[in-house]
Amino acid sequence: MKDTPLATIVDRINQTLENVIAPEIESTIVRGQLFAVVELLNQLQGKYEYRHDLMAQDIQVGRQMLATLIEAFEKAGVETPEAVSTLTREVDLSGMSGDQLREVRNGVEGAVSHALDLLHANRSRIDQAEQVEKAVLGQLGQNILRDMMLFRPQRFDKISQRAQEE
Amino acid sequence: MTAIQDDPEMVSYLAKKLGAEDLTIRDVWQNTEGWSMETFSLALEYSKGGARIEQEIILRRQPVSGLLEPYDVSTEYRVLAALQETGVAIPETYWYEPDPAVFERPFYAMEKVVGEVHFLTQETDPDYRLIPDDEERASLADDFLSNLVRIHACDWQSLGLDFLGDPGPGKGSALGQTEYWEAVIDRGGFRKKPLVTLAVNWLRENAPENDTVRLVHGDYRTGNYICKEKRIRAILDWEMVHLGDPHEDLVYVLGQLWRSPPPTEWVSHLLPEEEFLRSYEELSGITVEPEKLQYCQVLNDLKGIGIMTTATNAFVKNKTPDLRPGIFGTLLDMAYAGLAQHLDGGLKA
Repeated sequence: MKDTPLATIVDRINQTLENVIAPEIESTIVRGQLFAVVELLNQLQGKYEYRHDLMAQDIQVGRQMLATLIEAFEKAGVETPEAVSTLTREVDLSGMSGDQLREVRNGVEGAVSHALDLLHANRSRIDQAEQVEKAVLGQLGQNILRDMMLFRPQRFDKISQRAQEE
Repeated sequence: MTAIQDDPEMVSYLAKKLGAEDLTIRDVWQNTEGWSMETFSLALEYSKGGARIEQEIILRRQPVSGLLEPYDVSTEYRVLAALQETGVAIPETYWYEPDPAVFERPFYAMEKVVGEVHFLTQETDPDYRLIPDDEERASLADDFLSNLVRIHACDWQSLGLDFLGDPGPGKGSALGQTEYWEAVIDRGGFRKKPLVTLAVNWLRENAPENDTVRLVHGDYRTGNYICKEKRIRAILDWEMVHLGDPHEDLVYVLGQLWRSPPPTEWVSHLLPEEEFLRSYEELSGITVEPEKLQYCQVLNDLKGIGIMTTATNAFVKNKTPDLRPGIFGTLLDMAYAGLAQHLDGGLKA
């Protein structure tokens, strides 16, 4: 969910409200209410973002995973690529916008992914490579659990029940 | 939905295809249960051979974009056409139309099978029954099993289904599917997620052998068949059909999303897991291997992420005005949680 900027989600919602739903509404009052929703959402643009603490946690856990992987590489004498090691450096996240945080997080995730591929390619040289992967999965699991706690119940039946109602 | 109904070119096209005269499209409606291919029901009335005929047909059209892109509706048509005489419950196929000038995008026409599709909802009530009549549930469970066995038993080579791509013996089935879904996730822009990388590498490392390649439906569950009078009349949604290991379908059937709530936890709201697997073995002669089930579970989770990331990408890139693909972006966290849990079971401490 956090991979899509909220501004993009709102843009898509507004496009569908204006171009798909509004033309189908016959009542001018209801159509007016719909455009009020579009206007409200539009005015929120640029004034909200995902929670910074969640993005910062993602980055922090990503760095922990990198540390775990680099330690395994060093023990096995596998050289850590610079593209991976540079991402372990601390960066001041406090003044960053949501988009900037997302960029940092994507960079760290990309580096972890790169390091995991390197681990896989060198698994015959790295002692207990699978245990290292399990440790990384454990670190990743903290944030996966957190995101699951934020998940709200689905209402797919409301979206797809037209045929049954007719 | 009056565009087709009032289109004289479509009326003329359908009359020609059906060998009909004086054809009118009495009604058209688009089904909303499916979230991928576009399905239109057409109520037709026409004259043929001196008789006045009323007939409902289905037009299944390739969408612009969505969960399983890139789309090729001809694959589904060719598979259904090939399976007509195999005893698998499927609709009769009529024709495939590749010309986008006819109905904006390629589509195929088939019989409208009358009946009910059970729509799955998330229920927690322990007494909830999607199919309240026990006799009906038992009958549907029998049909559910026998159709799956027929799909897996069909001689895909003699049916001309090798166009689906024979993964070959050995690790071909497992590695082929891993590579396929990895590429799908990559196209959606999510390949560099650490969990995806862990899963892809684990699947490569642990790929099981499969020397008997089978036709795999790929989306086999309650909700994807039409039933009437306690029998399954048509197995639907063949968009993910391919050649591979039948354990893929078994794991899909066992999915949590289509189980009845605890304490029953019937698979596909039909029957207990042990009974399903035991009956499948008896009917198919295929031995169910627990290690393969574990492997295919991780593969199935990766596939789920592939579908969700494709849909998310279609939404983000504004490929469709349909908002439903955007909802899949909200489900990714749940898919990641499932994959992490199953992968944890596969990785040795």
